[in-house]
Amino acid sequence: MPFKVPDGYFEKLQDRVERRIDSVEPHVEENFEPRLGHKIWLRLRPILYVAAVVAITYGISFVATLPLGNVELPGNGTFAETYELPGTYEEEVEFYYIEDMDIYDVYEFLSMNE
Amino acid sequence: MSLPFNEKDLPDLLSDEKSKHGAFSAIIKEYSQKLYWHIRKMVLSHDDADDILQNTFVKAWLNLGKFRGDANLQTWLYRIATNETMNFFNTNYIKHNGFTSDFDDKLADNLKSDPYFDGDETQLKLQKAILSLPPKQRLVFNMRYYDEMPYSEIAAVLQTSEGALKASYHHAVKKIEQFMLKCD
Repeated sequence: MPFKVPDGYFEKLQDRVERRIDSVEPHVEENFEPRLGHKIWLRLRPILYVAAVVAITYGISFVATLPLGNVELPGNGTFAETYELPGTYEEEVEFYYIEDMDIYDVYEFLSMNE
Repeated sequence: MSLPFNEKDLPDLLSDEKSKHGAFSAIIKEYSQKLYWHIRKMVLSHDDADDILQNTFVKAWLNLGKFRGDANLQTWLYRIATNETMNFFNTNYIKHNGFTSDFDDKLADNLKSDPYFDGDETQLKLQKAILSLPPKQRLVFNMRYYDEMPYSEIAAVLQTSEGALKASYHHAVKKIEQFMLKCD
């Protein structure tokens, strides 16, 4: 392989990794006992997040496939002119990643983007 | 070099606060080089590989509770490293408005002046050829060609069938051959 590393890189790596871990170690509150309602909410929240993302995405897909122009309803009514919602590449990539993640990764991802 | 404990004991060691840090330090020592080169072959830059490798170990540390020993440790770590590497590419592709070749060309251009690349013109051409592959195919090629990993192990890391991997590798080799011939 035509690649090199800086001198002593691997020897110093362990210390650097451990320092990085210490800096991101999540703070755990001692004696934290969530209330029952809070416990249920904690369990349901990831599922609700996933359901919300799926609903929004299918909603966007549904509206985006609606025909442009007026649509006649049965009877005398007509829809107002519909328009295509812009879909962005970022949204498609994010949804692709969400499909590949398990429920806890999705929760973490959505929490980071609140 | 091998771990100073039996891998079967790992879930217990990692769930015990007294032994967790020592066990994880041994894991870093044992796997850092393998994971580093796995990442480096994809991202080419030492600084990027270093960053992703550290993210990999942080992710592994934060998710130790999910390691139950049903996959072997190496496979589990490789999976995390692979995911972090793919995140790196996807983030950068988004920054380049989805023009993946723009970012890949940038990686190739940076290689020429990279002080940690000491390959000749042929090596540079080969790296550009590998960069022309889609990231997932690049992974398969690197793991098979450079690491000589059995397809069964690659399948476990990428959670893809061996058949798909063999086909992907075969196509990758063809594409690289065509790229090298085109450049001559």
